Amino acid sequence: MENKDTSRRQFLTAAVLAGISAGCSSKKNPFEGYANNDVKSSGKTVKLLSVDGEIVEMDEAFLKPVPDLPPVSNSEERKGIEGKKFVMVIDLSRCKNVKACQSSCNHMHQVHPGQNWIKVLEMKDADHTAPYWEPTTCMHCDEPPCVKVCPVDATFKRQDGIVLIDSDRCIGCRFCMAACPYSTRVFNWEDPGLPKEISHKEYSCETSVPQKKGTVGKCDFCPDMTRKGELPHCVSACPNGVFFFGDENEDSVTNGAETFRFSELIKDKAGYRLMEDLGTKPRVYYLPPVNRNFPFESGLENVNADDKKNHSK
Amino acid sequence: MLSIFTVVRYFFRSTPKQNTTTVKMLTQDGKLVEVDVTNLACGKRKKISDDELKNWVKNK
Repeated sequence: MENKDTSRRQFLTAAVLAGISAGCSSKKNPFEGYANNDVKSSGKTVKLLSVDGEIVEMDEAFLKPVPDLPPVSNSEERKGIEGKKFVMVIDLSRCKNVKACQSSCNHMHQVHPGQNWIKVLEMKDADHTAPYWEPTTCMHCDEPPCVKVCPVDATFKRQDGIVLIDSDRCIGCRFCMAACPYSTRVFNWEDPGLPKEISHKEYSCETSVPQKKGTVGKCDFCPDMTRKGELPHCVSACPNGVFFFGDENEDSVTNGAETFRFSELIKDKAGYRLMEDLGTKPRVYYLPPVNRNFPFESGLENVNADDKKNHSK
Repeated sequence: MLSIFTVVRYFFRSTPKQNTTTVKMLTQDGKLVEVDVTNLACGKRKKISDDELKNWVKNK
């Protein structure tokens, strides 16, 4: 009998409390704060492109950014993106040594000051031929000598064609640097001097950040960007559209503004790869420096002391 | 007999969930955004031309 009274009292107390709280709460669901009804128009309209090819003009306030992708596990990073075969085309007729590619790459990958993953070299094929500017990246070879010599599987080739380095595995033996015929790799002799918030981050093979002392670094084709469907930093930073990036399986490459069929571009403009005779099968193609957009001399103003030192070697 | 849980649930039952379907669209600065389809109906629409499509993302 005593128990029954207690339970009835509990029931009534709960009912009264529930009633009070229901009465106090507003009718509006607190979790619907971001519902579209509450959004006030900003007065600024933007044009949007839909997947079915329609341009829709809409107030900027109604746009929600697409959330970033969740982080990828190390094993996923090592596998790569299925069905893709990334390829780069560098049009030498458009390069005037602006080095926006280099600075954006250095900035986004937190490359050690004084080191570059992308180098813009002054080239001359013979005594009487005209000089030209040649940006060089990692060639992401299909037969990569660097991968074959790595004793700890720190550098690896993914199914989408990208060659990456896992700095957590790298022991700094530099066999890969010796094996690479394109000299694209750099060694972190010193601490990269990164701010704490970056140096304390967990290393990701796809961002190649943070770089660590005693390990090798190189151009990574920005796989974190390609996973998001965006272009590598060098491609989007170049104001002259020198770099084209795309998927060989889709047979298309783009520099952001122009898009070409990869096979036609290579065929029509006599594309070639560096040191073809070595059999490394690079995934970076070059278009020869003919019908140039700029005279070679226009790039001389960007030559700095480091470049001169590299050329004299 | 009604349990306390049932009573509490009665008072705190959530409002019916609104079906907010969103679609992904591309801005001219190359960013992917989500837009509610209900808002989409209000906007001006036009079919894109080939030239506009080729130069949709403005070179930064």
